[in-house]
Amino acid sequence: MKRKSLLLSMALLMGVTTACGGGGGSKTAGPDDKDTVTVWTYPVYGEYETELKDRVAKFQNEHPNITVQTEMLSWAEGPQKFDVALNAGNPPDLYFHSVDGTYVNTKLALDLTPYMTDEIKNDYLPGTLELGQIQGVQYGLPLYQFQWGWGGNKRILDEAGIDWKKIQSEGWTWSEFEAAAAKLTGKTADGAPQYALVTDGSSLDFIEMLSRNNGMPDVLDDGGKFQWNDQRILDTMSFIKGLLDSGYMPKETAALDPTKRTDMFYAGQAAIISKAIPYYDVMLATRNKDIDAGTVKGEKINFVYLPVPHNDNAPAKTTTGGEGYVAFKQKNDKGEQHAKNTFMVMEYLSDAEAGSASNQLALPFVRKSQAEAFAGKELGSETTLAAAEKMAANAEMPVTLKLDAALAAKQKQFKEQVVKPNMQALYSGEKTPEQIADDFKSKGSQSFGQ
Amino acid sequence: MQSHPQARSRNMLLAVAGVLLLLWTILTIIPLYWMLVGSLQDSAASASFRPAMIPEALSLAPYERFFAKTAAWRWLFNSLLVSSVLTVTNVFFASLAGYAFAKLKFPGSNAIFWILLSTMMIPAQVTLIPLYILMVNTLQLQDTYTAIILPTAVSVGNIFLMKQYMSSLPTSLIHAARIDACGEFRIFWRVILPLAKPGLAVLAIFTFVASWNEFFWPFLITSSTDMRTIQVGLASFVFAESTDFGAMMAGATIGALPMMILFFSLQRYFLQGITIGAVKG
Repeated sequence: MKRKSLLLSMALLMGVTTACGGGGGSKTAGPDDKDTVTVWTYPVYGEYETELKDRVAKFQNEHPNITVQTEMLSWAEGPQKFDVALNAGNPPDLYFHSVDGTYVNTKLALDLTPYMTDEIKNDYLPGTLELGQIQGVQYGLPLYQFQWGWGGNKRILDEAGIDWKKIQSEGWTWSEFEAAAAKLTGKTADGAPQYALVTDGSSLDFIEMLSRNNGMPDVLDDGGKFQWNDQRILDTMSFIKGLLDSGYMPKETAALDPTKRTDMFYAGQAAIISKAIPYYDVMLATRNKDIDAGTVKGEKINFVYLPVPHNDNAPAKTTTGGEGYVAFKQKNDKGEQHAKNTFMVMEYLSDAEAGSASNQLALPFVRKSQAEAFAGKELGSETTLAAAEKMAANAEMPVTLKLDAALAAKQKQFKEQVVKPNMQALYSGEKTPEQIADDFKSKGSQSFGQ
Repeated sequence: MQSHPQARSRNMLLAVAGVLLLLWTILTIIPLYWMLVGSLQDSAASASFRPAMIPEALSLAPYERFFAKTAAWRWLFNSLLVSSVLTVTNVFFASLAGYAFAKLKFPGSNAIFWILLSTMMIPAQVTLIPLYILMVNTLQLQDTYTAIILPTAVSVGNIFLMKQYMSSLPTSLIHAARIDACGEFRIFWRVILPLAKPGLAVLAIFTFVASWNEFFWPFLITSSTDMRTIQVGLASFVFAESTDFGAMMAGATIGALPMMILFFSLQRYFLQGITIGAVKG
């Protein structure tokens, strides 16, 4: 009996060991061999899931040997799932995101250089292909070039006598914003509080955009020099604290998430929200139509795209970047043919027809072929598109595109472990701007050695 | 006749406790009420920062959208299947292990038990990536029921619970069964299990509830829409800039319904579960 159990245990152990070690030495696959390419993506815009399904079906008809497995992730939990898969050495072949130094650090990001033909390179508009690069190496193909501004409710701005057209064309300073905020704060018609500015307490976009408008491109500059260690970050924190103390921003900011921020905007409780792209124009136009048709209840809202105010003595900057598909290989490398197939799917999902993303989001196209395919079909109002164009003149590219991958990873870690909790502490009144600035200084010096 | 001062202060304390408990009950019920009311209103209304607690008009449209636009029936089936299987496996294995640790003498039983208990100190986040590597890279089980079920087929917490419960059962019955030439499994099956029914019921309920509400592991390990559980499916209503709150609340109500039915029908066992293992027999 004992012997039988011993033999069984040995057989099981051998089975597991074989499974662990297997798969590494696969034979070289040919272009017609069956292959599966996995794609993890997000609902980029309302109809993206449906459009993607159609496009994938078309691709599979044209390439019957390649199966494309798509998974639509939720924005809130998707990044966590990807992080686990990446750290387990088994990321999907394609992931929808901006390129990131931490991906390169894992050595699993796929260098696309060998597959980038001149035809593809020349199709990208100047300055856009770089949005998928880290230190000049191509890891991703941008699907659109995002541009973050603030979003205003036209009715509330008009009622408060805010000259938003002037702000769109000339920008505004922090003191000008504070003067406007005093007029925008009050009560809604049904007695609920109305705030001048609503942001969410869970993400870092707000502090990043404001500090960028106070002379700091990011925690580090593109040369790797630590930026958030002087009076500029203290002034930025003090500006936010002032807005909270004056009641221009909700006291519950720490508990708000991006969805709630948007909901408050819909409910007329936020005159301005702290993160918007021109897509709001399209989204709100659809919502207004639904309200007219009686399928949605609520107040019709007209969107005003606003630049982020800048410190009185610092230049205005518009946060920009690119998002699209980033390619990966797995720890258990599936070989060169699989990499080629991955790139083929990637290029297909980023081609002229994929310009629908930029078009739907009312963002600038990244490829000439996309601009041609959607010429005359642009969505978004003229006013918003003109404001976006004006803001693009002050565009600040992400420093991570030029940063060394290890430093980019350290910056990301600093933001997650130091900035995030400190911002929560600022919103909830647990820490003063001075305490936070000191914490940034000491922890930054530990992290970056500066 | 004047009441005794002690009785008066006791009544006062009872009144204060009653008011506090009432407030606590209201606070607990508000989110559930909000969910229910939100599921019966159009999206825009339920998405308001301060929702209307007394809705002007009720509508079943969010429920229609929830069932029409999603694979809701499939998600509910998946949740039911996974929770049921996990309940059965946990009850079976945890009671076997609990019996062994509580009543059988074998070399190293204490050491093994303490090693098992010490694994409870390891945060789930630490074991997440190794578990993912095992399930996906090694066993290639991603997007299967097996992958959802296997890691929690039996939990140490449940083994501990059963060990504590079974320690309180009389050992003399086991000796009597042995004298009657009963084998160990037969003793467990015929003598111990019938006596342990209340404990098993508590274990089953807690496991079912925990499995039904589990989100992250099923989310991590499944990739197709058809393999999602109801909790994972509900997350797909959250988009970047807009959320169909009505349909999401409808889904949350549907998802919470089995738990509410389970709780109210088996309330007795839930309360028993709080004290189980508290006193060693």
